Amino acid sequence: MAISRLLDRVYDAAGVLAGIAMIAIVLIILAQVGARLLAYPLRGGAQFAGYAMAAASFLALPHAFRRHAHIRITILLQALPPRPRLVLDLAGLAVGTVIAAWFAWWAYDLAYISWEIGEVSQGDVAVAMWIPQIAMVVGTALFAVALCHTLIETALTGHGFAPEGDGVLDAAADR
Amino acid sequence: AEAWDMPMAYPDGNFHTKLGREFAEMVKTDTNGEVVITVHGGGSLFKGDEIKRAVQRGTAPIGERLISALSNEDPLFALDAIPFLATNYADARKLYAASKPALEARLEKENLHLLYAIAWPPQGIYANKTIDSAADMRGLKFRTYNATMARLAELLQMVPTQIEAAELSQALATGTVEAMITSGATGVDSQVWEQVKNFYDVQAWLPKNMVFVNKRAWDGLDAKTQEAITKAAAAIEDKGWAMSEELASGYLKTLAENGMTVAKPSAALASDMTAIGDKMTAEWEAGAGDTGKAIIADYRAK
Amino acid sequence: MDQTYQLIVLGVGLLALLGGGIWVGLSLMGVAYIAMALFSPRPIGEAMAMTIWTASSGWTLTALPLFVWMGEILFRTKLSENLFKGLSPWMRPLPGRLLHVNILGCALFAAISGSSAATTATVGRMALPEMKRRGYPENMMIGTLAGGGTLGLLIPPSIILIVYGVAANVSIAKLFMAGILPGIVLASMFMGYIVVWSLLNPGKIPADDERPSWGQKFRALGELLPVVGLIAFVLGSIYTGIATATEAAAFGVIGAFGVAALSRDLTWANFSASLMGAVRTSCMIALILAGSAFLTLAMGFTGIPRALADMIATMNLSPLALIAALAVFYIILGCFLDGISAVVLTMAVVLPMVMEAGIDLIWFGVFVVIVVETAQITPPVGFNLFVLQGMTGRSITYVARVAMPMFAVMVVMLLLITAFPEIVTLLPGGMVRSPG
Ligand code: NA
Ligand code: NA
Repeated sequence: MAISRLLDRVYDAAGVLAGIAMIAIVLIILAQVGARLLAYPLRGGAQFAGYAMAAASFLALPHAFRRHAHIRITILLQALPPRPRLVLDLAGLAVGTVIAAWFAWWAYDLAYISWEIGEVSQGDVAVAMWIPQIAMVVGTALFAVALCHTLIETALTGHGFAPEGDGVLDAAADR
Repeated sequence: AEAWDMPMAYPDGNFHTKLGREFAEMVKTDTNGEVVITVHGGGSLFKGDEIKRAVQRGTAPIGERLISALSNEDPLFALDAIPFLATNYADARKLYAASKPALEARLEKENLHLLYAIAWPPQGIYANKTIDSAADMRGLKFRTYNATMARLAELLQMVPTQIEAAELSQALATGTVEAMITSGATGVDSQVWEQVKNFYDVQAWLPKNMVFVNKRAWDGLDAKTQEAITKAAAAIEDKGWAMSEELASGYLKTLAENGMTVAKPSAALASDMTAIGDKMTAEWEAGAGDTGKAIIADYRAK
Repeated sequence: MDQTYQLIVLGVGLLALLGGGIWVGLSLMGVAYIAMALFSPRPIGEAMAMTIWTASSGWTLTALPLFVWMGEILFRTKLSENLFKGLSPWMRPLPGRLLHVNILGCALFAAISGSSAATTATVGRMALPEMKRRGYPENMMIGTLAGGGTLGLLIPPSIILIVYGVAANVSIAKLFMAGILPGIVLASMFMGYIVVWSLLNPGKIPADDERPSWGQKFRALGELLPVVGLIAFVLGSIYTGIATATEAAAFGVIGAFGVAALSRDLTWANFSASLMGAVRTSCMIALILAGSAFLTLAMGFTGIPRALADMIATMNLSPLALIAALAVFYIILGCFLDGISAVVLTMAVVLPMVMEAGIDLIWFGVFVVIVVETAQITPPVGFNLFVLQGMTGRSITYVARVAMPMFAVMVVMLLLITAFPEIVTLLPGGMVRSPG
């Protein structure tokens, strides 16, 4: 389905942004160390590395989810016959969607209140907190969308979302 | 009856946290159990950075924060961390008195009601190098954690170095940081004598922790309960200032007992620091506007 | 008994969510929500968002994704192959052979990383495919890795020792010193277990017929140069004062790129694959950490850990019985919380008890670290288990089961340092007060 493919593209794009944030952590830290060696007053490194880490973590949520990177316990799922298994899988996705949506709503509230009360960071450099928090809003919102997306997809296709073996052990076998 | 959770940022052994627990006990007794406060020390509920917002928004009804940590929000919060403005307990208390109305009004605007504030022991210079004047500090890697410290580093021509508290011991041991200004209490808490040789008791400033309560939670109490809490807060504040002063000399003794050279600043160093203090006070006044000027004038008049 | 009831409700809730196949991080958030909704009058959503934001944007945690990335880069170089080539001639006489590389690799990596998830992820990424190819038994591969990864917390630098040091107001430098010898002893005990298992299960370890000469053995050591060089580079950046322990992780990434460039593995494909692999793994860990931070907050509001610790306090136990009770207490808490949260939540009540009993605080720090290290490999919530589940695609029950012997080894280690506190106190020196 076109919309499904489009959504997956959006998740992957957010994932690439997360990757860029990861590179940014390394660059910020190297700049901080370099500045110290050269006695150049560079400020806020620790703070910005932290924000970059938050961006790397949150923006990757939907991408990692669709690639089965997030951990779930599948003992019960695997023990069930196909029909009840699909029902439990759908129930799990539904509950997951609710929790993720709740998380996303309060992430939005956090950033919105930060903006409303004009909260600034208490760190070395004054930063309006709602700006770095945007990454959390976007990442968690897309995460909730990805869960809902998967729920609908699973309901329509009838194929469960339980992961197939794709760990390093299986990869090694055919390397 | 109200059950209040009180997040505090410093470890359970720290005197601020101990006083917080004592305050909680007093409130319970004096309000006849009308308000029962549970203290959560060491950042075990909310972390230091979160506490003000948590209380402001009512996620915690009461909490404690280092005032100068809020400097980015308003110059008023940076007042008690201006280097070499108020350099002993009497002056620090005077500065507190001069600034209290403005501080209360500022907090009121953010849905916070100030209960009490207690000073940390005075800040001194820690360094391995012998320091006889400001010139000796030039080029040292100096720990900074906010704009005021960065400005101080700039004026003293030191290399500003940001190190988080968790990494401080290691940074001192490996020379990533060569000098810092902090209180004797922090020096003892983190046992800096393992890495640093000299302490100069310049008494640069006496920062304060303040305890505040969510305005709505406060307004929800009846007048009698409010009065009891206000009285308890005043009592703990007096006790805390006395305790802080008493501990201050004890901390210096502990530093010396563990092999550090604890010294008063030389005349040259003292006068260099006073000059820097005047400059930074003037800069602060320029940033803080009329309220700031009025506070400094009031402080100088006292 | 109120708290016991609350704990049961939450335990059942957590098991239901996890068992129902809800993703771990979301399950933790769900049970934290239940805890606050049922047992605390405070507003929930705002507190959750703020706590998770702080937990996800903290400076000291930035080392974690970078070490994970380092592992992903190294996995795509010949470094792991070299590591095995260099060590295998030397491991030959030891029953269990290359399984020992798991433990040695973890112990070495523990010396540059402060977290056990990063240690498990990095060494696992390199070692698992190599061993699988050589036909080693899967249960031992994964089990020893789960155990070995916990060394990341014990061998300095260690995030949890810093947290404990700040809470207990004891010297972090001394704590780090105190962790070294127990780290080595524990690593030796893991290796001892591998030897015993291999002797009891002859034929399970793949045969190999080569009989290398001493010359070959020493030449093989040359294969270790990239590994040794990389570790020297990262440790060097810390101990010369150029970088802090957290910043050193960035040097690890740069060093790993250096290794990749030298072995001509630094291609665009490898770069992007390693980056995205690291992004996914650290995102997975971050979601669990987020849930865990919220659960910790909820536990703080409900006061359950504190009440349980209080319960122990009122029993007036002898020092030895107190130590035993605390071990059980932390192991139970460790089933549900990660180690650092368990320490932070309970220190206020536990430390006074311990001091009252006259137990040395440095010794107790190491004791606590070993106890909560076991939390990393106990189900249902154990970070090393999650990392290995994500990496191998095996079920958590399987991973937890094969890690059980390592849990037993760690319990023996606890008995050992209780009987011989010198293991802990020898290096940091000073007053030694055993709990006995
Ligand atoms: Na370590
Ligand atoms: Na566990």
